[in-house]
Amino acid sequence: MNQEILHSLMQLFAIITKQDETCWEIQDAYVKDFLSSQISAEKRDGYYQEYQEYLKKDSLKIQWTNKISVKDSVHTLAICKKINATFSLKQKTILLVWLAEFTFASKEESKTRIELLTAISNVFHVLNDELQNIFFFVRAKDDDSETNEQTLINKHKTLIVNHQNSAILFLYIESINILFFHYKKEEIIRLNGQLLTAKKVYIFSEGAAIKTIENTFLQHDILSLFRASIIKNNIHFSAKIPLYKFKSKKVALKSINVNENGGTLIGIMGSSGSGKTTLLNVLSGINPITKGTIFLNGHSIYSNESKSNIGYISQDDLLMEELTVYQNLYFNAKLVNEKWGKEELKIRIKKVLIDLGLYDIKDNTVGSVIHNNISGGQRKRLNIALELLRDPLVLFVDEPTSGLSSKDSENVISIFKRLTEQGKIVFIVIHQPSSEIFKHFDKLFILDEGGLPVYYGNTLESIVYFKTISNQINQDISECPTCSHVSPEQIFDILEEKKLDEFGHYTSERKIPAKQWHTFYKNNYDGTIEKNQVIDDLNFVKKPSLYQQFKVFFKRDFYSRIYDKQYLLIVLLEAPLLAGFLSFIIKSSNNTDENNYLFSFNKNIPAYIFMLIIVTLFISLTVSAEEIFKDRRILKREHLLQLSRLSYLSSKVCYLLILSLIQSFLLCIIGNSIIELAGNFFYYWVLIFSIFVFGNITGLMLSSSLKSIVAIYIIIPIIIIPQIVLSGAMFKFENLNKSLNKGYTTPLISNTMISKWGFESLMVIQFTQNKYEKTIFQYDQLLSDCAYRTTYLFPYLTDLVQTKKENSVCSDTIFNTLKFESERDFVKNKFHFHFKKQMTIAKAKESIDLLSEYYQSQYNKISRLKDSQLMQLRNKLGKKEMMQLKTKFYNDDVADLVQNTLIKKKYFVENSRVYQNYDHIYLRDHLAPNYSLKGTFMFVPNKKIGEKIISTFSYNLIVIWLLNISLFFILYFDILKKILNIKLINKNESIN
Amino acid sequence: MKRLIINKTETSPFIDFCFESRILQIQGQSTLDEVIEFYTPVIEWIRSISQKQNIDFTFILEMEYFNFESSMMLFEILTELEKVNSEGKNSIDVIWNYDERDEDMVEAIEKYSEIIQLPFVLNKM
Repeated sequence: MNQEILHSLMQLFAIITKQDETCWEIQDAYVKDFLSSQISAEKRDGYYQEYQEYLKKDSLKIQWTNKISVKDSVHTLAICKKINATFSLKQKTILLVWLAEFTFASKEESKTRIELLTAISNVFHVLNDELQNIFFFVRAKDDDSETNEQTLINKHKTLIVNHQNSAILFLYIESINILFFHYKKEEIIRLNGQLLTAKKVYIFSEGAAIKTIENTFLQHDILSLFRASIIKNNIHFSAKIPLYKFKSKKVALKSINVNENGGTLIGIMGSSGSGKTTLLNVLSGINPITKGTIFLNGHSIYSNESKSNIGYISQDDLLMEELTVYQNLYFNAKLVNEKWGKEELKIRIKKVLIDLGLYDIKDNTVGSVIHNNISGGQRKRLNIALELLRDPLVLFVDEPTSGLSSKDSENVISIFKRLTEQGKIVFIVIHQPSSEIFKHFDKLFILDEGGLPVYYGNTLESIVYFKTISNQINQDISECPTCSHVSPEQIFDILEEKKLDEFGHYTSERKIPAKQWHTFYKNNYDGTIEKNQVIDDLNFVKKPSLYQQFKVFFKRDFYSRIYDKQYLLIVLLEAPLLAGFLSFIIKSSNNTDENNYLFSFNKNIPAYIFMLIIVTLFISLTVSAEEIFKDRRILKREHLLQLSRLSYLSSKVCYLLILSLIQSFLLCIIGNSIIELAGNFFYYWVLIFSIFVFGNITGLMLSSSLKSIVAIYIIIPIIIIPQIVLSGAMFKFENLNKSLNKGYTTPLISNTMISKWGFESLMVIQFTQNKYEKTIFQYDQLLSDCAYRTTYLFPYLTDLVQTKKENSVCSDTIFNTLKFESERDFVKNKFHFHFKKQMTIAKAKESIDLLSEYYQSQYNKISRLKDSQLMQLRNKLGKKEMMQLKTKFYNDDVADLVQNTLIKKKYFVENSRVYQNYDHIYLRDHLAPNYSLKGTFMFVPNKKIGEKIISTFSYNLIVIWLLNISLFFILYFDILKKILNIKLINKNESIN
Repeated sequence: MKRLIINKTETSPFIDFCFESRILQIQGQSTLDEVIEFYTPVIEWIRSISQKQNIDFTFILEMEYFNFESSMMLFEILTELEKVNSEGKNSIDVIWNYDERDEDMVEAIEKYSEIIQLPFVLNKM
């Protein structure tokens, strides 16, 4: 009560008194009485004098009319306006009740006074209905007629509770949710320990208890009676769990019995490790139980109906730091109910923002916990708001006040209190609450060591219970009478009180062990409460479709990145900067004219292509490595809410795809431009993009499976180094450890390396599709075909043949090779060889000579054709242009590599066949038998799928994308995580 | 703007708001119960002044008695006038005629002037 208000009140009292000539003494006495209950002795007189002065002021001039004088009207109006500006509706209504008590203090009612009172209530915006209820209530104080009414709530929102000889009349004012009471006959009644007077109006505050000699009336119970007639929503929650064990078989909870109706706030308390959070997790259905039942309105807690109506608020911070308060709520809301349209979402979000006092900061970015933009208390309220959007009927909250200031803590708890006033049930695990907060709870559920319940009942009664059992004094005052300070620590002091040894020192042993408390509890608690008669059926809320969820996840991620300027800059500049760096450093050509750079003579091009791929892998892995990891807390919640993992993963992949498109584009365009690699841009882009995707999905897999960010980054080199070593670029396959590589082909292990597929693709493209080579590739191919045979194959076969006698049978090698040669398209129609198995050396010799000659002549013919083609081109373009064509597009080192020009062994024999070991880029047919199991040659231009022949580039691209898609499936089914978990499950147990 | 004339009755005052003459009058006594119904058109009329520009109005009050509800309405009217004035587009001068023997009225007017930021000219009759 501050000064201003007291001054105003004195004036109002005076004005009201003045309206009538009667009973001034009674009014006088009331004022004195009022002041003595509100203010300390020294100041009382001052205000009383004020009252008297106002009265005297114009008492001489007063004419007793039935009308309120204009002066009084305006004066009252002015005072009320001032009060309106500073008082809440709650305070004004309470003020009105006092004014009413004042006005009706004398039994003779004065019409003008009542008129003025009514007028005042109008200015205060108090509803007329409630004013009439107040009148009824206050009048009843002096109504000495006997009342035989039962405990019924009449139309004036009053309730008489009869007991023995007297009756207490309660008044409930709905708009401010406050109870008043008074009683008529003098008797010993205490309110929270304080002795009361009859015929006086008292406020029945939260958590208070009225005690008569025989009975105790709890505020919560009386309130429930009134509210039960108002709220339409009826909920009942029950849980019966005889035993619950951890995965490690240790007992977590025992003999749990919970029964609650709507409109209750229950505090779960206990010492550390007693199982509070476990209890919360079990009751909410997060940790499923094997023995026991949990029901919400008749539905099992594990049913979809229940899940739609249960909320869980953990201690984790589930906010997206880069988004604003509004956006955090918005994206959450969009995932709740498929039926909510744009308008409804807006309204719901606004309501939650206002209810939790977050409306003013709705456009603030949340920020991280360290660099935050909103205070700790606001953060916590926002976390709560996320869950409240779902409008759950039952809420489970884990330590909402930890780390908050006492004011913030009270704010938070009153939010939950308001929810229960709307008929919900809220369970809160709370540790060391202040006495203010403690009083908010309607019930307490106290656990002791080993998950044993030791108390379940009314809050204030708990202290009495414990004191009684431990035989301490002062057991019927639970609240300090002068300051209404309840100390919840008393409970734990009693619970854990230690034994004294013979010297009077405290030992470490408890006086009363947990099991004994539990036994007391079982004896005292009968586990029944009055169940709600009417229970609503639960609504099943359908979540938005997979596609809609996908859109929300995508948008959410997108917005949170757009605002992170640092991230955006790095991620977009990374690729081009690296590309530029790389290209610049290796831009040097080994030609005679030192000053001029010619692409043709740059010895670094194969390495450049290889580096492109490695850079791609690095960037793509690191960009995606943290993606899922940073969302892990939010994911945990979304898993609880049964949101689609597929949608989530798809949105991540989609985002990374878009990013990779951009990054790969920048990488290729900058790199290729600087190094003057002209043409084939699209091939480069597509391939590099595909490898980006591989890296992204692999990164997502790591992000999703590993438990710490350090583990993720340590694994990255383990992934990339093999890619480097086994790609065939750094170390040629023929030079690798013989155990890997049984022949001259690609080792099996290299075929699992995406770098190999990528490198091969690009090298093949770079050679076969460059503008210069394209014009003559066909010729070169044929020329190589012929040259190999005339220069190497047939001479070798000739050697083999010569050592044998003419009519001896050919060796398998000779036979197989000749058979193959005879069936080649090139010669099939010209020579109709029909080789039989037991072919003679003579026949072989003959065939070899024929073929050799044929190939030689073909070689000459094709050579001339090639020359004329080149001549034509030269004539068309001009000599200079022609030179430039080659130096711009054709690179010597690439050519060397794909043709394997430096190799010494131009052929090899294996499985009784001769195989070509160089110029694989010109290979025109797949060799039989298929090398597919053991590996193929690197840099072949075409590959076979079944009977169809497609280009290496397309084939490799298909392989890469098949790999990408399988990785996505592995990601979706979390296979990696499951594999890792199997190994570690013995060590990790969920203690919480 | 249409002229607003309401004839005097036993319980309600005489009201004459005339745009042409720039004079707004309320005169008589106000003891009716349904004040909101009665005074809403009055307040609306004053509000619509803000559609005009550069007009100087004179508001003349002469009340014998008004009940509490009416005093609330008078407060609203005066607040609206205050708003018009502070907007700056038009101006209002308030003249309050009173009978000097009616001390209650004097004090009431004084009280109003404390809570309304609009200068009154008090005119003894």
